[in-house]
Amino acid sequence: MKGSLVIVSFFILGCISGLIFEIPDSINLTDISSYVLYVLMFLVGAGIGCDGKIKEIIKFVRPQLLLLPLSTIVGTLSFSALAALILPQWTVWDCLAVGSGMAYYSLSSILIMQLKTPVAGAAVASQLGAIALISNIVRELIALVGAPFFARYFGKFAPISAGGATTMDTTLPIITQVSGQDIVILSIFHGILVDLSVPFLVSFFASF
Amino acid sequence: MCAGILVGHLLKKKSFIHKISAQVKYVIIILLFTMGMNIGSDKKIIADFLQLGWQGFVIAALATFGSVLAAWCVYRFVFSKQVKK
Repeated sequence: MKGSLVIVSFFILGCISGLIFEIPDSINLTDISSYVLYVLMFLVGAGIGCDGKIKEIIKFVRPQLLLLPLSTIVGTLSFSALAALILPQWTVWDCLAVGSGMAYYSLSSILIMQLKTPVAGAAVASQLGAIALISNIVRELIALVGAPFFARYFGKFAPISAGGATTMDTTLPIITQVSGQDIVILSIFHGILVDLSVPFLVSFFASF
Repeated sequence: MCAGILVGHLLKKKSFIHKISAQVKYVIIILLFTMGMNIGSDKKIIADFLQLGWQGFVIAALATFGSVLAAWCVYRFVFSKQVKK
């Protein structure tokens, strides 16, 4: 929770400094964030590679365990597509790109902004990027606050699905609290798999 | 990212790579800051912020609801199987 607050406040700080300071045209901000994004993707990859987690996951995989992350992805995507009916200014693909962030707001919003720029122009891309950021932060908040409610009315797997990609870190404590300790491994496994799906799904949907 | 996975895996035994990958958090902070500057320098987005927030909320609510519903189906399915056993 503290980590997300720090990140959000830096985002707001960036907004404010963008408002206050005139940025000379010689500095291309979009280029700078692209390079930082490449560094980030490399580091995320290095983290996965050196952790040895992948081997453990493969050893651990059983068909039943795959069911929950899969249904999280399917449920999220199908209902995100419905959002296009309520928000006529965005296409189904845009809504899917935002929804497939799975509460991984930092990565998904940056990816959308970068990948949408060549397709739809910088203005639309940063709007959708901002929506992705807000939407995925809100999802994490809903997952944190609503966990007891979900567990009560939709079964003990529901808080895990709601948490999306965050169920191995930020929402793990609340999930174990409301769904029990026996669900820890499933929750972490779910978080890792959904987490891995985010860069692929977001960049796929953002390319339309 | 794939290059990162490969390098990370190859250098698994070296301690410095573990230290580097722990720095992701700071890179994310820098990224969000530059993204904020991007958005902040665009006056139109700031003007639209409330509307964007509302749209973000709609997608988040639907996405969460969809995943919860799917989890409920899995729970029923797995649970009923366990009862049969």
